[in-house]
Amino acid sequence: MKLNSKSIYSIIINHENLIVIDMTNKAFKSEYEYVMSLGDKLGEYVDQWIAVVDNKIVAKGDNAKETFKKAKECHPTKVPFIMKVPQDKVMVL
Amino acid sequence: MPEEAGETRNVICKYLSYKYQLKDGSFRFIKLPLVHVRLTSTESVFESVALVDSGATQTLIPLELAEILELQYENKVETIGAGGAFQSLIAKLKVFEILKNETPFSIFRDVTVLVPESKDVLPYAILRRDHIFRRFDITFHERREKITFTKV
Repeated sequence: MKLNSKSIYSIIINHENLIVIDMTNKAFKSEYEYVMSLGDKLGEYVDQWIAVVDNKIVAKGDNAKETFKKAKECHPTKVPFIMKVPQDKVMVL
Repeated sequence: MPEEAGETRNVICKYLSYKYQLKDGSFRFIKLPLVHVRLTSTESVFESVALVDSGATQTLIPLELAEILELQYENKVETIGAGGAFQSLIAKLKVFEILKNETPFSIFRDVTVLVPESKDVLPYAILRRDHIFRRFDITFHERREKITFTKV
C-alpha cells in the first residue's frame, strides 16, 4: 500500500499483521474528533488559527476573526470549529 | 446558572496531543487536557477548545474569540496569575456548552467571562473551577491522556 503524506492513516498491529486504514474520508462524529485524529499533522499548524468544517481545515491564518470569516464565507450555514494550535509555551495562570 | 436536565453522568475526554518540529530540528510535544466547547453569543456561534483548569477562579476567553462573539464589556478587572497580572474585560456569554461527540454534556447560560485586553495572552478558553468542578468530579489520567468527568 502506497502512503500519501496528505492522507490520515490509522495503524493497527494485530498479532504479527500490520493493518493500515486510510482514515482520510472517514466520517467523524465532530470537527473536534477530526482535529484529534490529525495527530502530529496538527503540528504543521502550530501557532496558527484553524477553522474546520465538515472534517476539513477550510481556513487558517494568524488572525482568528479572518479565519472564522473565511470559514463562514465557504460554509455560511455551518457552525465552524476554530482554534489556535498551541505551541509548547509555558502558560501559568 | 441553572443546571440542565439530562446531563450525562460519566464522560471521558482524550487529551489533545501531537508533536511538531522546530526550525533547529528539535521536536516539541504537546499534551493538553482540552475539552470540546461551543460558545454562543447574540451575534455568533462557533466551536472551539477549553482547558480544564482546577486553579482558575474565573472562566477566560481569548480576546481573539471574544471579537468573533462581539461580546459587550461591562467593566475591567485586574487578573492575577502565577505568571503575573494583566487587565481583563468582564463580559456575559449567552451560552457555554461542553461537548462530547457534538452533544453537550454540560451547559452554562449567561456566564460571566473574563477577556484579556491583549491578544496572544491565551491560546484557548480556560474553564474555571467553580463552573465545571461544582457539577463533576474530574479525574486527570495523565499517563493515559484522558480526563473523566463524573456527575456529582
